[in-house]
Amino acid sequence: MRMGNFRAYLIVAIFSLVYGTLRFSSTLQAAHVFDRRNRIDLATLHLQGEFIESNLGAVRAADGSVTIHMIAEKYIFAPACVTVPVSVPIRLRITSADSAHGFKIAGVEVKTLPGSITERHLRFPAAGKYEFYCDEFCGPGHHAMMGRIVAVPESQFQPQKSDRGAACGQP
Amino acid sequence: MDSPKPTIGIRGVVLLCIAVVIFSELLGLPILRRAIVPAPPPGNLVAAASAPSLVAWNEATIVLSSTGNPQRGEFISRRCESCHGVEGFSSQASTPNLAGIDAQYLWKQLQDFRTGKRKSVLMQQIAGALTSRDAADVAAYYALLPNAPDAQFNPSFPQTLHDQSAIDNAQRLLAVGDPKRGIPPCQACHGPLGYVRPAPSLASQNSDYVLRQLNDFAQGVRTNDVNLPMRTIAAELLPNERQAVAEFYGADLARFPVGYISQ
Repeated sequence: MRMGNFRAYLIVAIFSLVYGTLRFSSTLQAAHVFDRRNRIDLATLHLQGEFIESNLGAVRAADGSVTIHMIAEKYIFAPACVTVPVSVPIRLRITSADSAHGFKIAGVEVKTLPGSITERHLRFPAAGKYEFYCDEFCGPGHHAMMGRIVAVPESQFQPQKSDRGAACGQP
Repeated sequence: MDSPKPTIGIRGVVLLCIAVVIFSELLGLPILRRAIVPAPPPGNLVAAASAPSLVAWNEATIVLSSTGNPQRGEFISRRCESCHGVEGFSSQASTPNLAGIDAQYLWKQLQDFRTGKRKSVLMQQIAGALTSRDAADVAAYYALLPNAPDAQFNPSFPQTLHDQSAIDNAQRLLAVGDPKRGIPPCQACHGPLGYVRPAPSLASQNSDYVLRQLNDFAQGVRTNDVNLPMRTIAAELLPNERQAVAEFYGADLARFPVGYISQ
């Protein structure tokens, strides 16, 4: 009888530890596993919600903060070239259109999952081109899945004026 | 006053874990979460007019587009024959060959023509006369046709290569792409190495047609690629690279994965 109780306690303890850790980290923007507000229907990404085509790229809100919306898909990032202002906190909201992908830029790793939005805050300390690439193997075109973020001085920043290709206009 | 030895014990551990769960749940409550994380932007944007395509790949459309009746499709295909050929191989190089092309891709294109998301005066009228079930049937029929051209009946395919040096350029782009410019290999999505829905197989496609589509994607004339894949890649390709890739497909050199047999 005592042993049965002990096992029950152990199961409850392990479950609550795992659940609590996931829940805790998801709240602190690491995993986003549980948060229903970060769910999105990947079949209608292009029809409704914040990832419609006209909303992709860097957008400046009324309070001055900059948000990047991006879709990772086989085997490109959309958009592949984004211009952002330098040394301003930037909110990256990224989702996947098909399978799990990664977004790695200057040592920061972000994972993307289909049907879920991952959010991360970035800041670019100096002007220049920052390459990002997929670091989660996603298929035979994975090695070429990359893009660039161009950090420009605040005065030159134009929201959503991005070149279309990943090389940002320079071959 | 002798206090008992302070021990946590198994009950204490369990209570601690439950406390963690409750605490985490409280953090997840929207009212508390808003204090930690700024609210996400409004998610109620709707893009009907500016959407690249009105097709959404949900369960209903996937089932509909992949369960067409090819026998019925053969009757419908009589009105496609004069341009797209009796065996799905067109007599003009500017008109696409349809033999062996993925049914889901063909179905989506017919929907896009009908809704005006892909621009063509002729195809908009033809696709507008088809129901989505008709489109699924005719797509199933063309998907079944062999994509190996018959020299007796397909005089315009394969086309001759104008420039032998284009082969090297095209082989590089098909096999490895150009990772430094973010160009993935063509054959990773368009076959035969891999397929990504709803990318079409290009193994036996006409060169003039491929070239015109690449140019249209690059200039933003054709915009029905959902989530921008082809507009991004075609804009990155140089004009001579587009020409080389188009000629490579038109010369029927991409039936097998490039880089696995010849090198």
